[in-house]
Amino acid sequence: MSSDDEDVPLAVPLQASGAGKPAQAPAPGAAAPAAPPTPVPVTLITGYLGAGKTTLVNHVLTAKHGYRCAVLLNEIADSADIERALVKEPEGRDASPLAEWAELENGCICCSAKNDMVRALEALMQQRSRFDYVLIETTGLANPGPVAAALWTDEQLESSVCLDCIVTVVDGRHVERQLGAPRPAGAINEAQQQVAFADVVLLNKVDLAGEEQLARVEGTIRGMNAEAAILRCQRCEIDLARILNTGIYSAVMQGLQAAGAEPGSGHDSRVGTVTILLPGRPLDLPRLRHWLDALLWEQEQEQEQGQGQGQGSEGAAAGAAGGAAGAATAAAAAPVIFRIKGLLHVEGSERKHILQGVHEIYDVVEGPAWAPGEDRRSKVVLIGRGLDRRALERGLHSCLAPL
Amino acid sequence: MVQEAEAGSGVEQLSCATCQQPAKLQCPRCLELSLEKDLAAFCSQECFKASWAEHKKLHKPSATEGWHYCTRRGQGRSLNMPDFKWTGELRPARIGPMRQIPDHIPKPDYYLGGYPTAEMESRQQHAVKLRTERDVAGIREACAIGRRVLDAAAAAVAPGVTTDEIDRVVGGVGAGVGVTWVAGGCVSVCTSINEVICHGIPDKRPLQQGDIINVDVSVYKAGYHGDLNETFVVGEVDAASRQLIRVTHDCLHKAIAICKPGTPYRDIGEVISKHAKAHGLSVVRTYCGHGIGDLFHCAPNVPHYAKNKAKGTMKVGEVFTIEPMVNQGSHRDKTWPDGWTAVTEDGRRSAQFEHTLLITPDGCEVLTARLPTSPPLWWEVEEGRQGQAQQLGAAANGAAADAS
Repeated sequence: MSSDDEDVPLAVPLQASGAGKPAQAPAPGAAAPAAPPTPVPVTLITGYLGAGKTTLVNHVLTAKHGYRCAVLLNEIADSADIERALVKEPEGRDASPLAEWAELENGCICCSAKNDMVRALEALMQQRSRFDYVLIETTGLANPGPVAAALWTDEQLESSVCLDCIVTVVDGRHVERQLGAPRPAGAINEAQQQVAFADVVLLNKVDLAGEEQLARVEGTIRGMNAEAAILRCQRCEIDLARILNTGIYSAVMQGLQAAGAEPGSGHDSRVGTVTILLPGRPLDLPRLRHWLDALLWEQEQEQEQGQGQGQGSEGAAAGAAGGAAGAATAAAAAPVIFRIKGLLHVEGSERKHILQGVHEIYDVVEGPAWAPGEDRRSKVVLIGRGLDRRALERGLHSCLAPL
Repeated sequence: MVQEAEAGSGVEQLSCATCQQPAKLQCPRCLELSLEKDLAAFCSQECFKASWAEHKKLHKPSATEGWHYCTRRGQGRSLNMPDFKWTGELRPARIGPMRQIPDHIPKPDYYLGGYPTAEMESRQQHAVKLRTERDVAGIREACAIGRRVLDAAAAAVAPGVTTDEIDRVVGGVGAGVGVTWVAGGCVSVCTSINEVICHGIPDKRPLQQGDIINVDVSVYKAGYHGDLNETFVVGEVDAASRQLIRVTHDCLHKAIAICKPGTPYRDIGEVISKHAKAHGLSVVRTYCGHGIGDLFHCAPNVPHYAKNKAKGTMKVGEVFTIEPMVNQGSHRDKTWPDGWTAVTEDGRRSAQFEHTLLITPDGCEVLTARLPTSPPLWWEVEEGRQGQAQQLGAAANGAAADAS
């Protein structure tokens, strides 16, 4: 008690308020803010266990390429629980752990336009002065689609990161078996799915497989994903420029790889590529978007309902038709689109339009102008499962501008 | 006493914190720290000494005692205003402790810590849920409460009123993530002034003539959410600010006009951006509209900017918000040291309007719609005056006609 008495200072007369407020320096006149720098390209690496993903990561970390790379090793890629983050410094030293990763603030979860992973990456970008590349290695993630789509940030968001390349590493010795491995009715083969999403496939361990096998494997992969670049390699030693800062998801014009029609790809449960070349008439862009919306989003709605939300007649029917088996059959029957790419001739425009799609997100952007005399034809490539070529052709034809 | 009266205007008649008699003295430490006077005033040294053991706790930042600066999204408190490169003239003022909510009021999982566990784990983050009739009834009720609360807040807005007082008037608790209870539901209020884009925390700052203020009300009642906001003028406000508010309101309503089954969600941003741009204003991109129902935020994501890749087309039974934030200058935002308040990067003003919508077979229903009793928005006041003037003019003509 008495010690408290001694602590008590002498009260002072009450004054008008405002007397003791600390003066805050007025904000400096805001100069026109500089435009944000271009986003750091993100390369997503996927593939089966043992294919060589870790080898690729190590190659990036130890090669003396003079760039600053953040490499993220991820158990479950679509949460912000990134397992380990390593940072590669330009001087070519060994990678150092990024201890601060665990401390990253979440920011406003509620109504933010960006998902957690993107925000966590942006916080990482802010912590160091600048990274040149980000690599995310997704251990155990069979479906890179949702993660890739989330990383493909809208340009308007001026994010410091953006999806640049999806790389699938496959083991030259084992991939044939993996791609051909049967699954219960309706279930997807993960290796096929990983190949389907790839922009670049690293056909690794070529030293351990014969030429005949490798040629066959390349043929199989092309049959599934006719657009991916296939790079043969040993120990994933490749020219890193093929997978870092490729510009694939920017508006830069990308030539489409696939030739014209291929024989009967994908009306079974195998992943395949359908390439459609349209006659030389322009497309009605709003109609095309409407068709793409239904193609990408309605099928997913049906699948979700079949798997037990139980809303709508399709869901009820699928549910009633014998539980899991019924749902799986419904899922197997419905086509699934993993990737879409296209070069479009659009009505009312002198410019080529580029169509790009990953998982359920797509975009159509203006590209360079058609050269004089250039053959203006639209070409659309779809990579997916259970694709019905006739139906897709009909659909696209219905989007042509009326004569 | 006499001394205080001569000291000039603005000196409140404070009561002694110990005995409630008129106060003449104040704690010197509180004065030094610029803490709130109403907790620091005493009638005599004896009363000061008597309260000292409790009073001195106020000299340390606390979430439960006194008024302090908010940090770490409401989880922390600071004695001093944090350092920051403030973008405009507004500064945070002190906030009070979070008010208690009775046990019997159901609270959302994020009410104490701000972390919406259910949202994070929900599949609804990916697929838009079609609301059942029961869902819709629950959401409608939450929205109705929200409308009443917002209207009460609008009526309370006036120069000299602090945002904390507005929060109290409607039954809110401020303190960032805090909620309180109204009509058996939890209510959370954000007050965003001038260059604050959103998430402003109710505090001790009195509103000033010429300010604009957005009040954002979120409600959680019996398992469902409702969300709405409007921007109001404080006294006489300059023409540019009035224009900003009107254009923002119209952006929202033009967007609502295209909402019907089959409309792609990405089109909302096109409509809003086009209208804002036509008036030389920019649209905030960082925050967007969202699905709402049993969760506060879920699919769909509704960007307000153009050229977005938003997924989904509207379907009957979907419920979501549209809440454009429109800025006089740059579209970019910065976050204050409290980790919550978003401000324009150039310090110029921002306005916002929000509704919660339900898609119906014919179009959409605005669940948070204004009522005939809602306090008029600034142009409705003008139109009201013009209407009255016309009526008076007509009456005068009529009287003159009668007289002759």
